[in-house]
Amino acid sequence: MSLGVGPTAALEAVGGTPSRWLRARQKMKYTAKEEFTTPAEEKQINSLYTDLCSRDDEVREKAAESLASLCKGDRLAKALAKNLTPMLHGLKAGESGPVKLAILGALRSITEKGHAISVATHAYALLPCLKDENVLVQRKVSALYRVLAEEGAAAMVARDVTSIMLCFEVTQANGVSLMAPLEALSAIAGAGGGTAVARVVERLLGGLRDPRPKIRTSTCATLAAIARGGAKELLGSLGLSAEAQSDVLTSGTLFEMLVVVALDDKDDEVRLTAADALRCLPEADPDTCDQTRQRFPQLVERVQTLQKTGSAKGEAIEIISSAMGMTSGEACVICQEPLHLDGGPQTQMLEKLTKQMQICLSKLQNPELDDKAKERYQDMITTLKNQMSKIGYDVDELDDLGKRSKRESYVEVKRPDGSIAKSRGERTFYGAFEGGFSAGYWGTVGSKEGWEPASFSSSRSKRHADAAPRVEDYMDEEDLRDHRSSRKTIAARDEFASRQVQARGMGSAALTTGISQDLEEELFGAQRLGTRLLRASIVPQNENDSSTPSAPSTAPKAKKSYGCAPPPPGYAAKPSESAQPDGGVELQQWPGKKLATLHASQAPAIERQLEAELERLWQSKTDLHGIGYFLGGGSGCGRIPSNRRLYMSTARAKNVSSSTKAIGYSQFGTGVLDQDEYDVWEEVYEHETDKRVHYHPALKDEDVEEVRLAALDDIRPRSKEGAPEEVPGFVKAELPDKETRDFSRWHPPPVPRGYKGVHLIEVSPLQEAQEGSKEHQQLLEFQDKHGQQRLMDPAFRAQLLGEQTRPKEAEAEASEAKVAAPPGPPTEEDQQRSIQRSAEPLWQAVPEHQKQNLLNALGRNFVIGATQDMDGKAARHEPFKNDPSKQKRYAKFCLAMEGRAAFSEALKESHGLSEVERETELQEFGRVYRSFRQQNPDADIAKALEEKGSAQPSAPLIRRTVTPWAPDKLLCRRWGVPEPRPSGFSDRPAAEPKKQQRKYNEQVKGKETKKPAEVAAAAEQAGRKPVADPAPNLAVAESGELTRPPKSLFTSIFGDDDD
Amino acid sequence: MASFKLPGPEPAQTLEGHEGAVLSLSWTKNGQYIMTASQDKSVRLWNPHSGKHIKKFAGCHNQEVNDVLIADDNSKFVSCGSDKLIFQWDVTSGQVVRKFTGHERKVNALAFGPKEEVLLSASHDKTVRIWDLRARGKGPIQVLTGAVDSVLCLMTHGDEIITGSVDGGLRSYDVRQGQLVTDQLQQPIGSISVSNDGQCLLVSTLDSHIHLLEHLDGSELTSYTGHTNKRVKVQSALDPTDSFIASGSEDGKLHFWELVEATPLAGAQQGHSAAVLCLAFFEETLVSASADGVIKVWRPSSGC
Repeated sequence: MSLGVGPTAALEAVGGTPSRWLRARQKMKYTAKEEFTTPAEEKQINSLYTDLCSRDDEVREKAAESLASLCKGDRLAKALAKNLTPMLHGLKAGESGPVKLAILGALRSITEKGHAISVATHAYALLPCLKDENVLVQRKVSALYRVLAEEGAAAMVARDVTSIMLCFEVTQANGVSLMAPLEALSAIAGAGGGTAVARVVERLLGGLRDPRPKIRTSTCATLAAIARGGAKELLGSLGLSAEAQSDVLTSGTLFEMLVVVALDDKDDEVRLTAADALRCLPEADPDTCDQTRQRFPQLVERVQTLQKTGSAKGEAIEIISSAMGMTSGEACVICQEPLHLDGGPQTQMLEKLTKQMQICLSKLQNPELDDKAKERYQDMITTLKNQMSKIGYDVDELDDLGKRSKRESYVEVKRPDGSIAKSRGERTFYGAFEGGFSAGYWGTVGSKEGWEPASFSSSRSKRHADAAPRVEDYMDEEDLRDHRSSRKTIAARDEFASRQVQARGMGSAALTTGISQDLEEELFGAQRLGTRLLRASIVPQNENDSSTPSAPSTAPKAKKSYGCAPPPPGYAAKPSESAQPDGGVELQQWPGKKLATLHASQAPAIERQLEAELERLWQSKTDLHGIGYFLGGGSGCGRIPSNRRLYMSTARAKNVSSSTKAIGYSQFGTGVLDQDEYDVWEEVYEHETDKRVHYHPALKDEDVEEVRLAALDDIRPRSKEGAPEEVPGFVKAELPDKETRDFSRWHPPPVPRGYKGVHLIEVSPLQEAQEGSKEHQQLLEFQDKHGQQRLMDPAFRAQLLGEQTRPKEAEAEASEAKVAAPPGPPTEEDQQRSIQRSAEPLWQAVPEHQKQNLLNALGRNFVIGATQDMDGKAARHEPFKNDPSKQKRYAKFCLAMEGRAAFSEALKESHGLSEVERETELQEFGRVYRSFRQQNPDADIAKALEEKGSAQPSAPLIRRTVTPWAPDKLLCRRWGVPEPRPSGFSDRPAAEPKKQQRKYNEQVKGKETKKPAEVAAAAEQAGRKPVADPAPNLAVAESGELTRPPKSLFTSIFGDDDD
Repeated sequence: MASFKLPGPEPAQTLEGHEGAVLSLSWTKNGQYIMTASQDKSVRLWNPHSGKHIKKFAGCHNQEVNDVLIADDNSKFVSCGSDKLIFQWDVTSGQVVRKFTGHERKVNALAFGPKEEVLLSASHDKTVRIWDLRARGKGPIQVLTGAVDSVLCLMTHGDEIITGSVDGGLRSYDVRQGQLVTDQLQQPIGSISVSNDGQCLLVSTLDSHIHLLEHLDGSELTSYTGHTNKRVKVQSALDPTDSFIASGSEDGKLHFWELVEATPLAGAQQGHSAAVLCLAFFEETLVSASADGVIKVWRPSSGC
């Protein structure tokens, strides 16, 4: 209701800007084709421009007016806008009023035609006009500013805000305050330059004191525009200057001031605008109106009194009260007064009611409550609710208070798998089979924000300040305390032993200077470089102590060598030797020492002291960093024989050895000719920096190094002879690698046997195991012997798989063999027939030595080796087996030899063999037979043959073995059976098999009635066979007491028959 | 027994669609449909009565599918292949529900335990693995390692797991008793089936013999010959009434024998143009499938 006022006022202030601008734009679109100017027009314009510069006032006036009229046309306005400079001559300080007015009018027309930007770029020419004595000019230029701001150049003219303000102030001071500057300001502020205008807001407040209500109104409008234009917070925080305070109100904020204006001003419009403006201030924010009320108790009081008296001045008071959250629409039910917004009887009442409500609710929760009581409580609650609603409390909200918060505390979200989960990070129970409760964020280790925990900070971007650990890092508090009190630098004992000795010596020497050591320490801190230098400069000390490097053990030890075997044992001990000049190796000098000794001879003692001190410091340097140090140090690679270059590819080594090529690479880039035999990329990958890190510094490219040394020659401090020129305090760092130069003494680390310098792909353990396994070996051998297709033959598979002959089988075979004739040639015949039956150990019965002899007699074609199986392979190589007819002939031959058959019979069938063949065959038969006879003189071959012939048709023997087997516990459960006892299978009733056997027999007999003959044979066989396997029954019989009663007994008792 | 009739001379239906040899076939429990596993890496669902091809399940096995096994409720089935994998599929969606990995060689045969709570798989890696179907454990419950060569066939009967291996061993693992009975048949075993009463085992060996064995003591009751089976796994089966025996053959014929007399019946039917690798009865309907991918449905001829 009351809010209706504000927006309209606001629109007026910023008013119409966009529409106007758009209109101009649209016009531009239509007039775009008329961009050109005719030559006559150009001529006219030019003449007008020249006229504008003439000395005659009237001419200038006329020209300006003409220009103004020209600018009213769209086409020419555009043409003129292209070059405004000549026109701006008419705005110079000394120019007369009419000319300025005309030009300003022209500019305004141009601006309105949509060329605000081009005008605004020349806004500097407008500034003098703002200071013009002529009020009309001032008004006109202010209006131009307003139009400029409205046409979209607000940002460009925003810098002139102060001048505009000044213009206003000047006019105000003259007593003819103009509205136009204020309008211009409000336009600028409204078009987004709020912050710029806010700079002058304090001065603007002067406008509120203006006697003219219109000015006050527009001031208020400007303030509103500033606040709307983006400087709301700025205005809110604005404290008023003392002047303004004294003028307007006691305590000073803009808000207060505006409120006062809105309440007190005589003019209605001013009040309204002021109220509108104050609504734009942050204090009027409905969210913070409580604070506002607290801040301005006086205002509140005043507004309340005004409200009460009803002498409210129209809409303004309503706006104020609404802005301050003091709407008088509702009255307190209790005291019938406007709502007690900050405490009062209402809140007390509310508290009381809430408490009662809570009690009722808790009573309702009590399960022991009877219905009547419940009803009563419900009634009470409804009355309470009624009362609460009366005092202006939303009961529904209260009603939902408990539930809603809970309901809204999480959002149910569909998870990818379709189930519903809560999405506030609660632990969600996914179900026992899905992993129980949720963890992390959606079951991940991440968080809602991502995978990086908040505490994470990348060490990549933010390296830890001191990565190198200090001794102090490893001390606990106690140690640190002691350490601090002792004020000693902690150093590794061995490495710095000599240093400590020296330091101690110096400490004692310090006493001689007259300064107490404690004081000295306090002044400088123990062991500081400065201290030492001071000491060195003051104390004349024993030369011997300081000028010679204290001991060989001070030589740098912490030489870094990565990825390489440790240096040879002689390495560390070297310095003592190398300290003595070695004629052969020129670099085996201690430069530091040299430096010191050189000075020792010439310089005064104090200087020597200093040098000695520096040198000592240098000696303690253990790393290779700093000025004067190169990566890697010395060069000695050339001396290693190429076969000892461990970490260099052969191509590279080759490259190194040929000096011409090496230079080519490192100095001039890779030439085509350089690429002769080595890979460029290899070089790239083995780049210096990488290599130095990983490899022993000594193992490097000599030539490259030399080139580099040459390049550095002028920067590098001169060593050796050039010692005097050396930068004092720095020395060339050749020392650390001096030892490694001597490769005659240096032995490369031992290379493991079989090392090829090539990374081999690791064989997976499985593959390895497979390859190493016996089976694999067998398979390979087998494939070598027989080729692939033999694998399909069951007999061969059996052989390959190393199937063992079963003992029982052997027994059976033996028993058969006992019945039959002793083995020998007939056995082989037997074998031939049983090729299909694999792995039958027919040879089992033959005594070992006999077998060997027999095989020998048969020749090399037979299987060698007693353990060899006698099936497939033997059969294949055996000549008789390959040739069944020959086998048959041999059988006959045997019979003939035994006298069972006539020789003629054996010989009569030639089987298509030639005489010679027959002859040789007979000889062979004879040889075999003879050898067999020799071994087994008593054997009855004929009988064996007959026996075999009769035994042949019998069905293959089925051999049965019974072994305990432990099914898995889970398997038993899944199978639905109890777990078998560990004692195995002996506790099964013996009766059962028999029973079932009987069942089957009955069945078969049922058939037998129909077809007696055939089934009888089958049954006979069936009956015969079980004898072969007495094992299970035997086992049962032996454990007589242990056997359970037959199952039928259980069945009869418990009636559970699961068969 | 006499009521049961031999299949007629002409197939009632011929189902064509497989692009490779059909290696296994399986009836649904209600006898409405059959599923066939083939060398063309797919499993297909057919209606043998109407002769319609219903669905093709492919895309998971990368090599030939060696066996297929349908669950009792017909909602799922299990297939195994030469890619060493076993998949459990959902029939309607055609999606793989579960994958069993662990075999090191091709998987030859599958069987369910009682109540389909376990799955057994026989593999060329000489093992039989028992997988838990109720819980989703990663590995098998148990690995049976008795065989010394590839295990070709597998069945469960009562409390026993009966496996046949190339090493000639017919092994029955008795879960209740906790014992392993091995019958050495000396010949690779290609097929095992059991008679209705559970007393007899019909075992095909790769020497062109089919043996009827007394299950309890392992003695041989009869053996049936006449067909050719030397190279590949050829299925043999007892008819539902245990009155005769049917077997495929590598010569493409279907062979039938009288159970007790072991006499060949009705001559050998020239059923297929390639080796008959598998066959299965449902009541009177016999389905046989051959190495050329053709499946034929046989019904007793109305005349006899």
